[in-house]
Amino acid sequence: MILLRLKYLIIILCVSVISCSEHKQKKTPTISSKFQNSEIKDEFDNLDIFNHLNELVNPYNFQNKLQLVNFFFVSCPTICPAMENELTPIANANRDNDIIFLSFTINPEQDSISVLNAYAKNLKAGKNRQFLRTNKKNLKRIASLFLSQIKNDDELFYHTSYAVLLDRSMKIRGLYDLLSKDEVNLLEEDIAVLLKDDV
Amino acid sequence: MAKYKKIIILFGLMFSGLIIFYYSLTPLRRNSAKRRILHATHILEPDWSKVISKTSDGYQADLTSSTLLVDGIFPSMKGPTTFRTFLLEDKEDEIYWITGLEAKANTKHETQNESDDFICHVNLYHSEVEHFARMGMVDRINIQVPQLITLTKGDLDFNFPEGFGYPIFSNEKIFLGTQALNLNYSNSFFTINYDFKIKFQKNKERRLKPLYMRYAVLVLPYNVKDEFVYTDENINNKVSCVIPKGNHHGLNSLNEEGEAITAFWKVPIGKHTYRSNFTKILALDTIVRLHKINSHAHPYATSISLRDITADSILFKSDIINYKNKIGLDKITSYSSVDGLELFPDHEYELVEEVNNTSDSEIEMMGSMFLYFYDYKLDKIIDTIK
Repeated sequence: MILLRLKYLIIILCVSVISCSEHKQKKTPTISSKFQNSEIKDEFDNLDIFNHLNELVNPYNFQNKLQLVNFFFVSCPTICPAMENELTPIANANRDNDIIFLSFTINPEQDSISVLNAYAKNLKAGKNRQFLRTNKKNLKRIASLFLSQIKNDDELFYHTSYAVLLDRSMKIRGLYDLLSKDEVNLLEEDIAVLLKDDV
Repeated sequence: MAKYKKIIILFGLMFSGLIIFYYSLTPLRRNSAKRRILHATHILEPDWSKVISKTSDGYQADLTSSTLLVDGIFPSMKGPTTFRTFLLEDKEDEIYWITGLEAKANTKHETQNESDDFICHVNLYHSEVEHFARMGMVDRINIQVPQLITLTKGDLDFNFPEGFGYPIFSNEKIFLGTQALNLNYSNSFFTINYDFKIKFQKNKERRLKPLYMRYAVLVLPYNVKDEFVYTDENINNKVSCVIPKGNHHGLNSLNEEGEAITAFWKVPIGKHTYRSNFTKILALDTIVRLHKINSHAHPYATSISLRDITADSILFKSDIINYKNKIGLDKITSYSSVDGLELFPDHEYELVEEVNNTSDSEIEMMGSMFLYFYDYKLDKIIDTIK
């Protein structure tokens, strides 16, 4: 009888310790739930977004995965290489995890599918990376939905150095400046936390 | 022997190339490069620390910065920087109210009791996109500088009036940083780090009234010609710009008349007054109440005022006291009031900065006010934010 009580006591203690440690886990915020809006989903169904393999892509098709979205262009001489230096190791470390990396070019005129394909090959990008191309009008809308700023109206090309992290239900859970080591560390932490989360 | 000679020559050339490259950098980049090397090699402490504790009237986060080297004169905005991104509490998802910020410097310099003289400015930012998206106020994204609070020597202990605060999320990214300054000691060689205290309340324990910051900065038309010659006629008409071609922060732009304007200008010897109308930046759509003003200026400024042009009255004058025996700001007065000041949407407002350049050459100047208004829009919705 005493042994039975002791067993129950141990079980209760274990459950308490586990729930306490869960309580102390990092709470990754929800920045925006706008992608759960059915009108935005319908909008994406009508956008022609192609990846570097010339396949039609819709971010809603990756709802079972985390998504990390950023903006770039192949001939970018300044911040893109620095952003890519941070993205590549994160993507490589997560090749077997449920996360997809979506990179939209803001220069679709120069960055044809073949240019994006060569870019992906040059980076030795895995299957978890998609380099995406759509028209300029769509790009503006897509950038604003991902809370990102781009400018590609004339010869001045500009995009934020942020990467946007979405969870499996398409909620935006974080924006991270890839030019900041502190923020890259936060991104890696948040990917690990969200990968553990069940849908 | 010939092989070693080649290696020595090669190393010599590489070393010479590095020295030439180093001295071709701007002072700011040179100091930044030096800081990176000293931190990467751990010759100086590269890490920050953070401790959160409960106080008698709320909470405080004590942060200590990485260590910097002061090895020469660093004019305003030219010294090495230290900067950190962090979350106040990543294991909570609650609204916190920032109620104050303090900063102090620690040096091994002989003038230890004057360590704060080596603070150029302290900036506390948040991520505008993340912050306002979470608050449901996306129309406020990217409309102004992202600073929440800026401190300068002369006023390093900042507090909002009792009952007011700036709301942030416990797990929201915030950025804190400072830049070293050394205006007086040319033969310096010492280390410096900084202690910061962020004072805050937790919303679940105490609900405060929200404040919203609007940044008012003096922007002046400048002469785009490279060599600007001051005359009695033009001296207060157009200024000479510190950075004529602007920089990546977009410090220079055009006003409505199509004139190039700058927020950093050169001041010739003597007394000068500079004015800048910022009514359009305020863009008031209703009567608002101003509860806190924090001013920012460079040495040799003697005052900066917020003036109601329509009512022809000074709403607040920030007196600036300069040291008498050395270059630097001893004191800048700020405004803090529970009752506040009213500003009207049909009034025009300007900043007026007085400068007395008592040095023997041109100096660099700027002037701004961080204006904290009662945020009636956020107050209506903040209890519904999850």
